[in-house]
Amino acid sequence: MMRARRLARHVLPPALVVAILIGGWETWVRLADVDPAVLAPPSRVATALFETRGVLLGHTATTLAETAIGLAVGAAVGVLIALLIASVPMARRAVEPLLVVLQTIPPIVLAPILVLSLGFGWAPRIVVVVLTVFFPVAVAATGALLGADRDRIDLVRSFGGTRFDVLRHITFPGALPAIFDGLRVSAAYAVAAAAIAEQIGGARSGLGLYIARSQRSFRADQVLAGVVVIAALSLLVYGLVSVCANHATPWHTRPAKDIA
Amino acid sequence: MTIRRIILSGLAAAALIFAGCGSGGDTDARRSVTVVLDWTPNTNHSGVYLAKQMGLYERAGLDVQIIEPDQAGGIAQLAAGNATFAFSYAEQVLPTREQGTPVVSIATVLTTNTSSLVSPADRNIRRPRDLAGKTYGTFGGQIEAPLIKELVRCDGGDPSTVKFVDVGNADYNVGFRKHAYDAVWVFDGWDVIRLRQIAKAQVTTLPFRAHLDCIPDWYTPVIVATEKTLHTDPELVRRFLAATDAGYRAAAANAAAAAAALVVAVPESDRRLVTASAEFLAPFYLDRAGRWGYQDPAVWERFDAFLRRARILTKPSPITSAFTNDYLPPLR
Repeated sequence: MMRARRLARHVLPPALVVAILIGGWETWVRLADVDPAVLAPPSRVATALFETRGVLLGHTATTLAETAIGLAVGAAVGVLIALLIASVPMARRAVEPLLVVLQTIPPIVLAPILVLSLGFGWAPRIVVVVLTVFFPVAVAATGALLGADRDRIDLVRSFGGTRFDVLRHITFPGALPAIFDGLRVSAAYAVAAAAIAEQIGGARSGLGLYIARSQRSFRADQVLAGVVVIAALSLLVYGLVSVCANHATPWHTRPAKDIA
Repeated sequence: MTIRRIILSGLAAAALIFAGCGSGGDTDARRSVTVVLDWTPNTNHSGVYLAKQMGLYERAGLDVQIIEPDQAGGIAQLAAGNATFAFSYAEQVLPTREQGTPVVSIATVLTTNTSSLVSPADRNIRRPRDLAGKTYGTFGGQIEAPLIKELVRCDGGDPSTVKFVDVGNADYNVGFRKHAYDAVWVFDGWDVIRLRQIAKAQVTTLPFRAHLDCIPDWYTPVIVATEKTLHTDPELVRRFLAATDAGYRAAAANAAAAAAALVVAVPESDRRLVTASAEFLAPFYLDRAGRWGYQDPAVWERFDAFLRRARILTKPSPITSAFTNDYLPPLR
C-alpha cells in the first residue's frame, strides 16, 4: 500500500505534465491547422514511430553503442585529467585554461576535421561524445579531489601512508559521489552529442542520420520520432548512470525523505 | 567492496558496448571502394544503389560502400584519401580544382541540369524578368547571384532590383508562406515534386534548361575521382563506371525498380516522393545516343567561360583536364 502510494507520488506528476503537454500540442496543431511539415501532431509522430520501428531499432543500437563507449572513455579521461590537475599544481595552471577553451569549440566545427582525419569509422563520432562528456566529470572530480578532508589525509599520513594510500583510501572514494554527479550531467548530453555527430557526416547508421534523412524527405513526423527516441535514450542513460552511482557509492545516500 | 562494485559496473558497461558493436568482418578478394554522396541518398544516386543491389559491383569484383557526406564534402574526403569516388557538381569541381585539389569529373549522372527556380504561384513569377523587385532565397553558393542576375538581365529585367536573403536550414516552403523570399533554387526531380505532388502547393518554376539561350547548361551531379586514382588505378575506375553505367541503364528502363532500390537502402525516405522522382528522372539518365555519363566538351567550355566572366574562376586552367569520358564503358 505504502509502496503503491509512493510510486504514484513519483510517477504521477511527470506523467500528468507530459500528458497535458502532448494533449495541448495535438489540440493546438489541429485547431490552428498547423502545416504538418512545420509541426507534426503527436498522433502522427506516434504513427511514424510505429511504422519505422524496425529501422529505428537499428539506428538506436548504433547511437546507444556510440554513447556507451563515448561515456565510458569520456568519464575515464575526465577522471584522469582531474587526478593530474589535483596532484600536480603545475598541471593545473598548464591544462585548465586549455580545457575551458576546448569547451568553447562547438563539436559541429570540430567534427568535419575529425571525419577528414579519422575517416568514416566510429572514431569521429566517439571523439565528439568524449569531448562533450569529459568536461563535467573533470570539473566535478577536480573540485572534489582538491576539497578532500585535510584531517583524514593527515591521519593516513601520520600512520605512514603514502600519497597513493591517501588517494586510494581517502581522496578518491571521497570524490566518487562528485564524479558520478558530473557523469550524470554528462549522461544527459551524451546521446544528443552522438546524434549530432552522426548528422555531421560519414555515419552509416544512427538516430542523427535517421533525422537527417527524414528531413531531406520532408518527413517532419519522422524527425520528431527521432527526437522522441533520443529523449527516451537520454533518460535511460541518465537512469543507468544513477543506478551505477547508487551501487558504487552506497554510503552516499540520498536525503532521508526519499528512503522507504 | 566498492572497488569490486565499480569494476562490475564497468564490466556491465563493456558488455553493453561489445553487444552493440559486434559486426561480421568477412574479408575476401574484392576491392573495397568507397563512394561519398553529395547529399542525403536520393534518386540522383539510383544507379549506384541499383548496381549495388543487383550485384553488379560484386560481379565486377568491387565491394562498394556508400557514405553520406559530411560538411567538408565528398571532394575533401577524396583529397584526404578516405574515399575513391564522390558525387559532386560542376560548380564545385572547377573552383575546387582552382584551389589546388586535382579532382576530375569522370561521368555526369544526368544529361542536363534539372534545376529550377521555384516560387509560389501568387508571386506571379512566370518568366525570369518577373524576378525584378522580388526576393531570392540563397543557399550561399557563389554561382547563385551571377546566374540569377544573368537570367533577369537576358529577359529584359533590371538585375539590380533582385534582393537576396539567406534561406539557412529552414524549410523553404515555410519561408515562402512567411514571405521571407519569393524564389529559391531547387532540383525539379526532388523539391518540385515534393511541392506539387506531396505538399499540393501552387508553384511556378523557371527551369534552367528552358533558358539555355541566356545561361549555360552544366552537369550536376557528376561523379569525380582524383587525378591520382585515374593514373594509378585506371582499371578500378573503368570497372566501377561500367557497373554504375549498368545501374543507371536499369534505372532509366525501370523507374519502379530504381525507386524500390532506394527505399530498401534508405527506408527513411518518403516512398511517394521517391517513386515520383524516379519516374521524373528516368528520361534524364541517357543521352540521345543512348550513352550514360557522357560529358559534352562544349557544355563544360561554356560553363567554364561563365564562371570566368563571373570572376568565380580567375586562374588560367585548361577545361579539358577537369573532365574525361575516357573511363566510361564503350557503347554496346
